[in-house]
Amino acid sequence: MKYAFFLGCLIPAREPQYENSVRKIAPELDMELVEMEGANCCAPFSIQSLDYMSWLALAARNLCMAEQMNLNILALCNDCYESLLATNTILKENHEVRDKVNDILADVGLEFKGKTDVKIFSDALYEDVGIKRVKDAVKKPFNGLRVAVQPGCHLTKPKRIHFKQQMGVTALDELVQATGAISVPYERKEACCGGPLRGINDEVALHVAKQKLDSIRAAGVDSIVTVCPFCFLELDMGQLEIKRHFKTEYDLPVLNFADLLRMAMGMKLENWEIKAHRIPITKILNMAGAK
Amino acid sequence: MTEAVQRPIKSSEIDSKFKYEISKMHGGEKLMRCFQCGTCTSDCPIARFSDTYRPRQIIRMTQLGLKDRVLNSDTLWLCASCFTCTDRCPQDVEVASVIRVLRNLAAERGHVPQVFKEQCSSILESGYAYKIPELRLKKRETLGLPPLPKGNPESLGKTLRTVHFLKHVEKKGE
Repeated sequence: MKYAFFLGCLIPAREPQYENSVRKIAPELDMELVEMEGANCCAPFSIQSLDYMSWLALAARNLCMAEQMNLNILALCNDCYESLLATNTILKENHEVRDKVNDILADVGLEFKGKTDVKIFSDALYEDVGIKRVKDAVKKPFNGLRVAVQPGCHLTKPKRIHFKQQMGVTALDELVQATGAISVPYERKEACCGGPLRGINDEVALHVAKQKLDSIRAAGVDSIVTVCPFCFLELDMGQLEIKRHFKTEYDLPVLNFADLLRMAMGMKLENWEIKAHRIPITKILNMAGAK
Repeated sequence: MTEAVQRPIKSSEIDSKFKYEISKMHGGEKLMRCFQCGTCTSDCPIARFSDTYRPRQIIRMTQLGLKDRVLNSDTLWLCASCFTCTDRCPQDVEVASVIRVLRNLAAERGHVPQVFKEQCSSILESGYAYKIPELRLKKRETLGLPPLPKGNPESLGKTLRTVHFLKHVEKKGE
């Protein structure tokens, strides 16, 4: 399966270990990642908040490039996924808006035709590779590792653009279980991590993150696993800030799902990748392939 | 916004056409269906910890035509866009999208949080909302990562000139 690989900005800027894990896993599962030359910002909610047509035009540029490549888009970040998927849905459904966007894009020789689909990494694994194939690739299962899955809002919401609404969460749970770990239910699983309020109201953002972490701690887990780079930052680095602010310590390691799968497939994380976690992941590393 | 609500409403500040204006915009179509049950506010992760942010209140003020109060309010920018309200609304009002529509109008008045303006500038400069530091780009090779695909600043610039995007960058520093 070939994909137009949409990296976005946050992952190369702050979490190259996530990108690296995806690049290491992909060939093992016959996923071919084709770089998107000329791609630009996905236009996340901040941009959507400023001007509707600017959002659609920015996002549609990327969709058009994938169409020209004749490939579906593989996104890694929940926000890229939401923006590209929502734009793709709107432009496929609403011909009036599509015509307006195409007028804008005509200047740069692009045209949205509605020929591409947008997938996020976990969905692509679930739908295209399949759970069985993922399970077969697991060589060193994390038997007994208790995990709180943090799906991140835009994996499943709003349901209008996610036709298989709750599948995103279930898929991620099943993928986590395929590594041998146990996905433990917890109360605030589908709640926001607080990340989007960074820079707008940091105080509220911290409270939202703290509530999530309280709920995760109550479930008694060894680790948090997410697919969203914003949730990763908020819950990993956020724990240090919460410690300063509320004097509460969780010591909950946070992993990206790609890191978890990569280790379960028997590939070790490199030193720089281990150090990229603010909450040490030693506990998880010791469990990797323990049984 | 609580403060704004407590101030008595004068008939002169009501714009009775405002709700129709919003209903015509993509995302705002179902504004008038809201019957104020409050599911949005009770499910909102932000309303739990903010003293002022109440999605139901924003919807009601919009229905009532309190245009200036809504559009000039900082509270409008507290939505985290998690879409919980949208998904749980029994009347199918796309609450988060109504808020996006309202923000678009507020932005036209020049009300834009600094952090969003910075993201706009970054897109203009580097093509992306978060600028990827030079050091990171250089480091990729030593980390064993391929160079990032090149953007197309010329083409991107053309697209951004055609839409309203640029005015949010130009307002920077005002």
